[in-house]
Formats: sequence, structure tokens, C-alpha cells
Amino acid sequence: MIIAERKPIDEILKFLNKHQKVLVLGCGGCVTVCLAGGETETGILHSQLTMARNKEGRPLDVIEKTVERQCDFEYLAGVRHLVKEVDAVLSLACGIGIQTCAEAFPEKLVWPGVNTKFLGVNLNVGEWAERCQACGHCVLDKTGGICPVARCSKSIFNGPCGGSQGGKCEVSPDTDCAWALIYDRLSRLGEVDSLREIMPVKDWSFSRDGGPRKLVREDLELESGQ
Amino acid sequence: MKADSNLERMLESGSFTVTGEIGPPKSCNGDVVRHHAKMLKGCCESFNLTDNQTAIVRLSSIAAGKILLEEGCEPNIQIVCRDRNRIAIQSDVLGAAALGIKNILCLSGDHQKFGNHPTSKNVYDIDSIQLIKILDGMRNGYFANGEEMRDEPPKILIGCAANPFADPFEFRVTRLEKKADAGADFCQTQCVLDLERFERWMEMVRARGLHKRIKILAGITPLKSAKVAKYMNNNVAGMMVSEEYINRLEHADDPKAEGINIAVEQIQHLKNIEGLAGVHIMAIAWEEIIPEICKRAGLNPRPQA
Amino acid sequence: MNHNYQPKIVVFTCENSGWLALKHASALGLLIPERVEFIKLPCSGKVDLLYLLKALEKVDGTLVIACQKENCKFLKGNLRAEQRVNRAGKLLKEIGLEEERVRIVYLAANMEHKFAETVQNFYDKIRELGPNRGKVMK
Repeated sequence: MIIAERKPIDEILKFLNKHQKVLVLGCGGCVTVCLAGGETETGILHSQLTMARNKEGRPLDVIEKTVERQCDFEYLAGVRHLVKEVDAVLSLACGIGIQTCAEAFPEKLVWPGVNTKFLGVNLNVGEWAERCQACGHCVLDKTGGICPVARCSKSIFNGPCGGSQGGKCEVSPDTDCAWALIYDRLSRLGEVDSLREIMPVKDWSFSRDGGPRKLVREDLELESGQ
Repeated sequence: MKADSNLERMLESGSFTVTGEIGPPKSCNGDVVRHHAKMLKGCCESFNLTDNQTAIVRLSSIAAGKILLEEGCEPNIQIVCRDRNRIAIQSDVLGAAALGIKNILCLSGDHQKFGNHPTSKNVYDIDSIQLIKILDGMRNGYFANGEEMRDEPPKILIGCAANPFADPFEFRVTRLEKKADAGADFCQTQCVLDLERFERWMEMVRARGLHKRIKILAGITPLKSAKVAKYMNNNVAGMMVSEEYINRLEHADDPKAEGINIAVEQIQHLKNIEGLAGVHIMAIAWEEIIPEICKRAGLNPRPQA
Repeated sequence: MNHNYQPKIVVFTCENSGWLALKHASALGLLIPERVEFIKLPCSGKVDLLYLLKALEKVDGTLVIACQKENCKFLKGNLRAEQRVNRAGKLLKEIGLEEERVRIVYLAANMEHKFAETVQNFYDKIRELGPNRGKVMK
């Protein structure tokens, strides 16, 4: 899941400073699950914005709405009538949803309400951790299901480096050394000998380094375009 | 001979080899490097020049290496994977070789979080083992992409690091083996401040016959005080300092002198360890002490190789 | 301070403690300020951040009356309520409003005197703070 965190209120208030009426648009996808931009958080932000602007004697009219997913144009089409009414949209979706909004509403300012942090797992209520960097060429088969790209601070492929001690990374005592985890897991599974092999240099062209990525499944396409 | 450097000849001769280390300054003042080169000339086979160590911007290792060459000292330039991708690194290797640099040490590099630009982006296009492999390919006439060089390949001796004090302990020897497989000719270890653990590691190295495939130089770092020793033990990941040394420094009237005594004793002890090719003296921000340590440990004058 | 100012307050009460204490207090004729609205919840843990904020858009102060610690019928409801009250206070502070406008107090069903006193104290405190400047007038 995509993990996001709401931006500080001061930053959001600054974005909306010149507006009188805005649409605070939540998303029912990942940001709902990670409690950053779902229906509840949209309501909370609505409250905070209204009170903050009221305090300044410059009331802000807020419309609040949460759509199924902001990363699909069809769901955004359903709020077009609301967008028409406002000066700007504040999107609480991840970076993808925010951009889809901007693309769907070309005539309107769209402001980001969250910082998109990483692709991760929910470890505990209120605790999330990074697991994938979408490098485009999965190596989990070679590393016991633990990703060195996302979880090693140096993204190295033949670790652990000399900074691994007591299972922790040199970067912080709170960070597990991904290669210690890989080693332990493969040892338990009796597969540790596979780490004797040198993992070759990575082809980063599958990652962002190959330029912005796009995927087309021709078997699914009936007609092109939106 | 792969590079025909001083270092390579000494390692091949089988004599106990000595390397030193010089940290370039945080300025463009090449005289700082020149000063150290003049002071240290002749007491070691070659001198490592750190590559922006601890992720702090410093005079480049290749430029410092050139200064050493001008002073008649042999450089061993370090290359870390943190700051450059495979394109920049290969270009630097060609450049260094063109300037007459023959020894290159391959490292992952300290994470930038510890340096003076913690908000920077790191590269890690490749890791240290992959870097060794790329360098090995280059000296055999191939670029990292497999393309054959049209001209003479760079003649380089490839070094690497090993840290017997990091975890998982059992895997440390395997990792050294991977570095040997990748093409590393010699290895300098993290500073040995816990002899017992180092000897256990060397045992494992010998058990796999690794000492016959790669020359191992034990890292020596003279400690200035008990405080420094404790700090290294507690706060630097992958460092261990034995209680015995901490006690000795704590009770010494002159801790600096005691630190030198310890370093000298260690070298004398290490000389007798089977399979050890030599020592690498890293006197961090204390380069001027290297000649004294070498002299007292009976390492100077250096034999000719 | 305007001496005629009478704040408006919402009190969320747990039906196992605060709500019963309110009943007892009323039966005994203990004095409760006029402009205070009581809302019964099945547990203080039912209090949501949104409840607190939506209330604060309309009133001057919000009080949560929960069961005593380690005495929640649902084990951790009162602790959850506490986390949300703290968070609501932070959100108020972020936008320059007084975090004291939201508070949580723990008491038992048979503590009607403490109940009346608590509500009065909170009322006085809010009165002292003056009108909620973030209140939405419509």
C-alpha cells in the first residue's frame, strides 16, 4: 500500500490563503487505510481549516467529499460539479491521486494535502514501514523475500556491509539491517549457500532511471485514450 | 604483475607489507597532502587516500593521489559507491590510471547521514563487490557493459575492505570470499582493536584457504584516549574495542603514549599470525605518528621489492 | 473579560460512569451550569477525533468524562479516548487555539459531587478563556 502523511496545517493554510471556497477531496484507497486522507481525515481537516480561518475573521467555505479512488479518472468525473463551485481543490490522495486530479481538472488549482512517503506495510496501529521501491525488476527470489533495494540503506546487492552490527543498520539503531534479515532467514531455511554467488550489477533501466514508466496491456485495451 | 606497483611487488615478495592512510583536507590546500607525503615518504609501501570519508566533502582522492606521486609516494586511492554511478566511477578509474595511479580500494562508503551533507541523495548504482568486478573487467580490457576497450586497459591492483567486527560474524568470511571471487587482490581490515575476535576470523579465513587467494592486511589504529576507545566501541557500528585496551588507556599516565604502545604490540603480535600479509595503519587525523609506530614495530626501514 | 459571557459546552459522558453520575447529581439537585449539553456514549472510547472537532466548531469547550483508568468495561476505551483528546488539543494548538478547550476527566458512577465540581471547574476555565475564536458562526 502507498503510505502518506498529512502535510502540516500551516503549509496547507498557506496554499489556501487566497481562496474563499475550496473542495477538500479525500480518497477511499490507500490513504484511507493509512489514516492520512480518507473520509475521517477529510472531516478533521475540514474542521481544522474552518476554525483556523474563522479565527482570522476570513471564513473559508469548505466542501468535503471523499471519492472511491483518485487515481482513476472515472471516479473524479463524479465530482466535477463540485469542482466547478470552488476556487481550488485540496487533494488528500497520494501523489498519484493529486496528479490525476490536476489532469482531470485542468482549469482548477489542485493543492497537495499529504506527503506521499513510501510503499509499505502496516506493522501496528499507527506504525508503517517501507517494503518496496517499485524498482521494476524484482529480486525477492534471491533474497529470501526481503528487499535489499527498499530496506538496505545503501540498496546493496551483496551485503551486509561493514556497518551491520547486532542485526541493526549503521544508519540508526531502530533500523533493521536488511542483509542481516536476509542472512537469518535464508539460514533458517537452509538456503544460505545461495548468498555465495555474486549478485550482478542491477539493470536500473526498469526503475525510474529509465525515465517515467508506463505499462500497456494490449490484451486489455478495447479503445485507446481516456 | 597486474599493476607493477610497489604495493603489489611487496605483497608478491611475501615480506610483511605496510600501508598507511592519509585523509585529504576539507579545502583545496594541496600542501596539506604534500606535507603528509613528505613526512611519511618511505615508511610504507603505499598510502590510502580516503574518498570523502564519513561523507564529508574533502579534496578528491585522485587529486590527492596525484600530489603523492609528485612527492614520490605511492597512492592507493579509495573509491566509494555512495557518490558516483558506474559511468562516473569508470571514468575516474581511467583518469586515475592515466595519472599513474596503480592501486584502487573499493568500498561501499559511509552513509551520507553521518556526513556534512545529510540531505543529499546517495547513488549506490553498484555495491563494493560489483565495483571490484567492474575494475577487474576493466583491467582485462572490458567496460562494465561488456564493451571491449579499443586501447590499452588500465593497470590496477584492486583492494577491498573486510570487517571482522561486523555481523553476522560467520558470514564475514563468506563476504571476503565473494570479494576474492570478484577479483580483489588485497584486503585491508577494519581497525583491529579486539585481537581475540580477529584471530577467530583469521582462523576461518585460513580454514577456507582464503589467505592464499587474497592478501590480508590488518587495520591498525592508535587510540589517543580511553574516551575515544569507548566512543568507538559504543557508537560506531562495526567497531569493537576490547576491555583490556580501554583499561590500559584509562590507567595510563600518558594515554597517547599508551595508545602507541598498544599499536606497536599489536603489530608485533600480528606479524606472527599465519596467513596475514601485513598491516594497514590508519592513524585518523594523527598521520604524523605513523613513522614512530613503524620504527618501533621494527617495520622501518622498508625492504626493497 | 465580559462578565455576562456564558460559554457553551458539550460533555461526552460514558454511560457507565459520567452519565450515571449526572443522574445522581440531578437527583440530589447539585448545581450544573445551564449552557452545558450532555451526550451519552456507550463508552468513552466511542469518542472520535471528529466528534470533538465538530463539537468545537459550534461550542467553546468539550469535556470527556470517562471511567477511571483500568476500570473500563471495554478494557481500553478510556485510554483511547485520552489519546484522541490529546490529539484534538494538538490540532487546536496547531491553528492557534487554546488546547485547554478540550479535556478528559476520569471518575466513577458514584462520584456525583466530583462530577458536578468537574463540570463547574471546566465551565469556569472556559469562561476565563473567553469565546472560542474558531467557532463557526452561520
